[in-house]
Amino acid sequence: MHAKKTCAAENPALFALNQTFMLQLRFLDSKKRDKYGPRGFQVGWTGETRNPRGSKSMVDGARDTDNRSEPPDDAAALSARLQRLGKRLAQANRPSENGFGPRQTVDTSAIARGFRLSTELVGGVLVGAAIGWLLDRWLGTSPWGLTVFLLLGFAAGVLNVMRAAGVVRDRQLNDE
Amino acid sequence: MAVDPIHQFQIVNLFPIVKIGNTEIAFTNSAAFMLTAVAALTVFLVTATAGRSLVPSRLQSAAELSYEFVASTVRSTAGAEGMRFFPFVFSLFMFILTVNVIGLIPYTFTVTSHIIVTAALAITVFLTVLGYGLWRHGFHFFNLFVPKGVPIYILPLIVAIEILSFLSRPISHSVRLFANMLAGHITLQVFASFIILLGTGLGIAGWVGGALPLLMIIILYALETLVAFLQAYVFAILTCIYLNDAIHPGH
Repeated sequence: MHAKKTCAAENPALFALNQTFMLQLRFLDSKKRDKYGPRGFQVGWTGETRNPRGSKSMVDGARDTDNRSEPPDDAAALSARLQRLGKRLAQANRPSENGFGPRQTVDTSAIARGFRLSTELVGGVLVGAAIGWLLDRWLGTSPWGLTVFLLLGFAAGVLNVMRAAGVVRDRQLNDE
Repeated sequence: MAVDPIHQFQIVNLFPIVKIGNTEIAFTNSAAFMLTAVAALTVFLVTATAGRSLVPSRLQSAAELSYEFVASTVRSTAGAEGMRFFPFVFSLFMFILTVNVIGLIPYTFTVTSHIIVTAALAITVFLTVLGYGLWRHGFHFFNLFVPKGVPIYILPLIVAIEILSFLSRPISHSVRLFANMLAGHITLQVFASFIILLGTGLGIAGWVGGALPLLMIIILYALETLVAFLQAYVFAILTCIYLNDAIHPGH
């Protein structure tokens, strides 16, 4: 079929004959011609490609009116598809561009997110309390170590939560 | 008569291995399940990659999928340089995932529902970050605790908070995995015990009414399957985030 086509392109008479032949045998084609060939190139096989010389035979005109409604549909489908792809690509790229990409991908479900944030806060407070308590024991500064480090630990916990939630931009991404 | 929901987490000594001083170190059911997980994982990965066909079989594409998944996580979080830690992260992820999934099978033991296991894993990550950061950057590593653009008069406070924040990482890292697994398995067991309680208490009507908690168990089971995967993923990605700090500790 491909060989026939190149041959037809060189000889106008043969080309016209070919067109008629194709028209007559159109019932052999399935209605959804787009099914053939690679996806995304569905606009490719329209009247234009079969008619490189732009010859206006009656046969050709008849087929054109017959086909007219299809190419815009295909083109619209392709452009919609491209648009969707572009949107998806933009979405995939965005997290790496703004400040807190990787942190957000961690929190895929609400439970996981809530759990993550609460453990971050508790972890900070616990570490502060432990350090304060140990310092008090070693240095004998009884209430002060625990008081100060509990507060610092709380602050650290809040910082952890804000980092985990993506409220504060990440350190390492700040200086890039 | 109520079924003890904690019973499933009991450590059982299977046989003693060595005795150091007065402490007897025994081979426990926890160790047995860890070994099972490692063995299953090794068999899976070795047999899956043995063929090395261009068009992968199902098993091989499963192995490739897990590789690709972890590799893209590492690359996107810790950068291309983070790929030198890929074997570490991949082992952690696959081990936790396998152990979690094995724990979902009834009558098995969930290794990650013990905080000692998850804490050991988290501390390994913590020490790796600390060790690699110090080896790679020397004292420069401590710039991690000194954010840029902070006024000098509140800098000591900020540095103290940053250090505490850094030290609290292994806690939240380990507690999250442990608590998720523990809570999920207790919930499953509690709902399961409802069925038995209803059935033994109310007879036929109770067994019929037991369909409600059974439905709940099915739903929870689906959730737990998700959690088993999700927590392994979260553990891996947090490891990557922490490793990223060791690789690029600010300036």
